[in-house]
Amino acid sequence: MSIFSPYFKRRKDQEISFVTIEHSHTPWLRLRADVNAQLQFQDYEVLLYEDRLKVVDSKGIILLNILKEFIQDVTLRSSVGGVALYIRTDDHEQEIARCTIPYIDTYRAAMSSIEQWLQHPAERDNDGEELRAVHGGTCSKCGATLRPGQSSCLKCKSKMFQLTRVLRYCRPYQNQMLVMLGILIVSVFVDLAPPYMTSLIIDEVSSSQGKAEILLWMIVTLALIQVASTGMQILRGFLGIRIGSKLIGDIRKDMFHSLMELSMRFFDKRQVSQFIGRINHDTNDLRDFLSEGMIQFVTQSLTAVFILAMLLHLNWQLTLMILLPTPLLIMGMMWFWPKVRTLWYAQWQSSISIQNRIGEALQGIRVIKAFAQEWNEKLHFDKANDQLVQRNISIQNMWLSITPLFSLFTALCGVFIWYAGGRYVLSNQMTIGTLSAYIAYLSMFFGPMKWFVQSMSWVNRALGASERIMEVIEAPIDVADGPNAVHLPSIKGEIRFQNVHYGYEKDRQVLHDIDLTIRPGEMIGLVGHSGAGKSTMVNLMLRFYDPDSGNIFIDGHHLKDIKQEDLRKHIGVVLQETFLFDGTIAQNIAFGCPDAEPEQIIHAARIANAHDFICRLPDGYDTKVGERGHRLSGGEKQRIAIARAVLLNPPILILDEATASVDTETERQIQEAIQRLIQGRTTIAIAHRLSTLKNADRIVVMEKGRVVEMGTHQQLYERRDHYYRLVESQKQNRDTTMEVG
Amino acid sequence: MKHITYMNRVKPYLIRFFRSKDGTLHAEADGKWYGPVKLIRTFPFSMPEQHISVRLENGDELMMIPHLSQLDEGSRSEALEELARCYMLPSITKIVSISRKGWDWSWVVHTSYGMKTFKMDNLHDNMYQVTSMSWVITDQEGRRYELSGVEDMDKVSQAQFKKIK
Ligand SMILES: Nc1ncnc2c1ncn2[C@@H]1O[C@H](COP(=O)(O)OP(=O)(O)O)[C@@H](O)[C@H]1O
Ligand SMILES: [Mg+2]
Repeated sequence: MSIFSPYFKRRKDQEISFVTIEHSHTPWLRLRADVNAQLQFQDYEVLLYEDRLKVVDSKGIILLNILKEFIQDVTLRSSVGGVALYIRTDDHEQEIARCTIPYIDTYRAAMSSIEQWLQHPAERDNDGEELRAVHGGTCSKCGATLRPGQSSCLKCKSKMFQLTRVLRYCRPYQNQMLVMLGILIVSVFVDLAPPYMTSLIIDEVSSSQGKAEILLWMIVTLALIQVASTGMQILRGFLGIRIGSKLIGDIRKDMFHSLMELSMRFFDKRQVSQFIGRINHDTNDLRDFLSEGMIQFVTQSLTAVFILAMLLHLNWQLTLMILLPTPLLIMGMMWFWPKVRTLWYAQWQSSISIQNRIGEALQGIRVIKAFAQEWNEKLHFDKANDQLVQRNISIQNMWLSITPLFSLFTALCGVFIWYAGGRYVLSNQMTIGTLSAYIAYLSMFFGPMKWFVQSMSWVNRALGASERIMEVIEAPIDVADGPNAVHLPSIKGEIRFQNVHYGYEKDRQVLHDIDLTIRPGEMIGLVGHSGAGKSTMVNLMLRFYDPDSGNIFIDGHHLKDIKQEDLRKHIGVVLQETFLFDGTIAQNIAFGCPDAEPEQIIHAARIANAHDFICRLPDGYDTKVGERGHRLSGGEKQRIAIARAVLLNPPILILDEATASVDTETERQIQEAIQRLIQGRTTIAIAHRLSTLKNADRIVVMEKGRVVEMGTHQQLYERRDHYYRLVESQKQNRDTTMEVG
Repeated sequence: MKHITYMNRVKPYLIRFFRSKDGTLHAEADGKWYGPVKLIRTFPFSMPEQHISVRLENGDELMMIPHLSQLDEGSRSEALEELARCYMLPSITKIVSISRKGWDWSWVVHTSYGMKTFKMDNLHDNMYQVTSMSWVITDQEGRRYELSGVEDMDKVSQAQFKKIK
């Protein structure tokens, strides 16, 4: 096996596959690229052979062919939106490949083997067993490039089944829905009877030998039919509401549950306020479709077919004449369909944007008021509101023009029938009763037709809603537990970062090659300028995100192999910004372990130095802290957060700037609390004030996403490098502040 | 901080750019040579040719150029060339079609990088409005495109865009 193999093996599940080399005419590495040197989209490949490098376009034409010995150096340059590969020959740099975001990972992964290839003597002994071609993973069905962590194309998996997936929510109500369908079918027949009966009555009355007795029976039957029809309508309504409400409840539940499971990446990319409304809105749009719509569809179709049969039975010549324009109607509907869909989508987008506006304005209300920007918010809102109004109008307008047109069409049909039918009656080919029944059925026939036309609107609305619901319910969880994830009831607390690279965006790496082992029980101080990547390290440790490459282990277990709930149970976090939930102080302290005893809560608060200030509050531990704990000061909130962590009693503790925003006295108290808290735990403390980290076993200094120094305070200070400079600059700051006041 | 030079807005720019022998960009300002230098667009979407930050390899800012037009012709084209390589953000010049294909939105567009067909999961998460008439569009694979000035495009583009916005 080659020296590269372990590297590629580890990434095999992700994006890299190998090709076993047969002879040296086969490239050992292929890199696809999609932008040429003139900055135009073009597909081509960089091929690396044992002795040379070639660039070949999609037709196989060689664009570049360079022997390895002429290549002095290879570099990968990142730019916004992509990377470019440069080689240096004859002290001159030359761009040989450029590609967009989907290829970046592959290039980064390939760089180390390219560098090794370059350093390797040209006559490498090749036993034909080595790697390896590299290309981005693609979906086997549709050829789309896969997103990180995705093993198969989600689109392909769910494209066809999205609607059936929504339909599966009907399954628990299968029986009730079948009953409803039964009732509907019966009522179709029942509703169809009256015109026929009436025609019989008319003919009976108008004929010379009409009998009063028969007439009476006919009338009674007609009345009974009407009663039965009403009864069934009521029953149908009850069932419909019952099924609909329950169905929607189920979907709403699933939507919220999925939302809770989704990764941080999902939320990073979206305005979160939208989900408040979406859960309600979209499910409601779907309700009518699922509970009533489908059944209506069946019955309306049935009705249409029966009426048509009846019309044909009464007079087939007339019926065929009426049916002539039907294809036109269908074509019109098909032309309309996508328009309706887009209109509804646009309308939905506007309503979401209104929601986002409201959500954001309310979340930021303090800032808005502080900067006196209410007018600006109002302006933005009005704009969004106007747009929604416009879109509502355009949707309604469409129906406004369609409905009268449809009525005109039916009226014209009626007129035509009066004329044509009248002639049949005059020539005694048809009775008056039959003609009146015919006309009644015809107008009934337009009922389902009208329903189909109108259903376009809400079917499209429901389809859109179901898509968006599934977008949440079926969103890929990109930090899913590995297939072999295990429960870890207890851990010692060893943390190891191994060659970790990470970037929130593909074209901008935030962490570079982090290698760090933290022993159980050790206290690590993580320092560095703001933006150095300290919090990102924490995010990776908590598995809010997965590294782009490299691994993180806890107690030797790969993070992916630990159930996430277990992982987070073992890690206590105190962040700079504390979120307090709507509830009492006690409930907020017990957030991580809801069944804690009051004694435990008080004990935790004591350790966190919070007990005293809580006792000073009139409502004590029962004090209600609003949505964001507006009623507590920064330091108080902080101490509640620490109490939370104490109560959780985790073997690993992370303090991310836990004392950044408080005064010195409060900081001393918090510091004291932290000192008690870290006993016997692996602690990672990120602090702005370096003085608070003097007791750390080791200090890790980060700069621009790299670990640049590591050691005790003493060692690092004496080294007079990065850490020294950080400490000195803080000293200076303190001196100047003292001078000032 | 010592590197920052505040330039007089009236006088033409005192910085000049050169391509060195190895292909990297170098600068000369106030009789001093700097190199290699990096150029950063501070407003890549709204003002791509204005407020360009010139930085040294280590990230220190050398100066801000208010507008590239203030440079001499040679420097300006070098700067534009360099920026084009650092910002791979195709801008859409013409919209051929925007349509629903199954569950995806499919766009066929002409861009500054040539013709491109791309797909998008949905419009609501992938079109980000930068200013009142400019958008950043992200395709299914994470590429970003800039779309602005639709009102100056041809009829087809406008009609296509109007369908969705
Ligand atoms: N959610 C995010 N999405 C994109 N970029 C982020 C995100 N969070 C942080 N960053 C970027 O990552 C870099 C490191 O951030 P961070 O780890 O928070 O720094 P710090 O060392 O101050 O804690 C910063 O440049 C920041 O802009
Ligand atoms: Mg931070």
